[in-house]
This record gives sequence, structure tokens and C-alpha cells, in this order.
Amino acid sequence: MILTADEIEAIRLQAETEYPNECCGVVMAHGDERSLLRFKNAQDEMHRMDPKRFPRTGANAYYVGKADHDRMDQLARGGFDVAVIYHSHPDVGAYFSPTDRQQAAPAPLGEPIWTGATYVVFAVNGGRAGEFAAFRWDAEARDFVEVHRQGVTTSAASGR
Amino acid sequence: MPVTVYIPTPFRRATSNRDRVQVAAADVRSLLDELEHAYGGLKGLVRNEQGEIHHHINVFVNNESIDGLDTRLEDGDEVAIIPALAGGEGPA
Repeated sequence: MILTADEIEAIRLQAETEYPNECCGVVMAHGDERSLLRFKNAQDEMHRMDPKRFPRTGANAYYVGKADHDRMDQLARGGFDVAVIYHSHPDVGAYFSPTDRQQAAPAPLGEPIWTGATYVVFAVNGGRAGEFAAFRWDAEARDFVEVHRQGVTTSAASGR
Repeated sequence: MPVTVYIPTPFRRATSNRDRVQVAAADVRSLLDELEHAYGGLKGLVRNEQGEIHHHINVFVNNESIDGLDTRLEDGDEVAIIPALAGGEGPA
């Protein structure tokens, strides 16, 4: 299992709410205990402050700010590890883009910073989540490979 | 009194799992020099061979992004080294 049903539903809601921007967050785990942290996509803020370094906006990129890193750190101090790093792709499909790869395993390291984490990308089309795909680092291939793909169904409780 | 440096989770293998270390330094450049001297495993993780901070690394002093390696430090400052958690659609 990569995401629980409740986590999928929570991320679906977040992705649809933040459309047409990308949403982002993590799931941290400690044994059987899991905690989903919804993050603020700080990309627009970074773009405003430094458009040369951050030419993209939240419509096609995500960036996690320091305050949310601090939230992760609080859980890490309690023994939690980052299990899933997720974000959404508005209107382009659930794929692990070259930008995603470059940020997840930046040069010159050439391997993931967040070792062991599964990257999950949610597709949002016209404001509605369609499917998600999960990607993990393959040490032999030295690349991220798709390990799971699943359609997202809208729960009756959400009223959609 | 030295400054306190926050070590991010992915880099703690280089600091024997310590999340904060104390370093005496007058500016960010000398702080990183001291850090890399004390914890050799950090070499290459924060800066490139030219001594520049990697694009995917952000350094904060008291929660503010630094202007550059010459950013001055005061006793008691808190420095955080944060690897970017970022991405997005399309080409890199």
C-alpha cells in the first residue's frame, strides 16, 4: 500500500481545491502510524521574490517553504520518516516529469535526497482528479520507475 | 557563543544523526567550511566543487533566506540548511 483510502481522498480534495495550481504535501510514517501533512505551495511566493531563479508559478511547479519543512522536522523528531511526497499536475497527466526527477535527485548527487520516499503525482483535469501514479528510485537503473497507477474515484460523501 | 545549525533529515547520516550542531563562524562561508571540516560527509551535499551552494539547497539565518555566502552571523543565530522539496510538470 502506498496511500490509504483516506489519504487518497484527502489529497484528491486538496488537489481539486488548489486547481489550477499544483498542490503538494507528504505522508510521514512511524511504524503503523501515519500522518498526512498538506503543504502550502510556496512557488508563487518564490516567483514573486525571485522570478529569475524561480521562473515558474504555482500553475506548473511546487515548492515547499521553510515553515512546512519545520512541520516535517517536528514529526521526524518523533521518529517519523517521509514515506510519500505528493503533488498534483493540472491538466497534463500523472507522470514523473523531468523537473520532478531533477528536483528529486539533483545533480551532482544524481540520487534522491529524500531516500526511501515514494513520489506520487495526482492528475487533475479540468478541476477534477482523475488518477495518480507512484514512482520510486531504482538503484540499479539509477532512475525513478513507476510502481503503481490507480484511478481516483469521487466519494459519495464529497457530494461530487 | 557559536551559532546553531539545523541539519536536515536527509543529511544526518553525515552528522551521526544529530539534527543540530554548534559552529563558531562569522559568516555563512566560514560556517560551511567549518561544517565540512567537522563532518566530512557533508562535502558535496551543500556546496559544489566551486564552493557555491547548490541550487537545490536553501540556507536560512533566523528563518530568513541568506543573500549569499558572505552573509554575516551573530552569536546565537540559528542557521538552517534545507534541501528543496520541489518539482512540477514539464522539462527541467
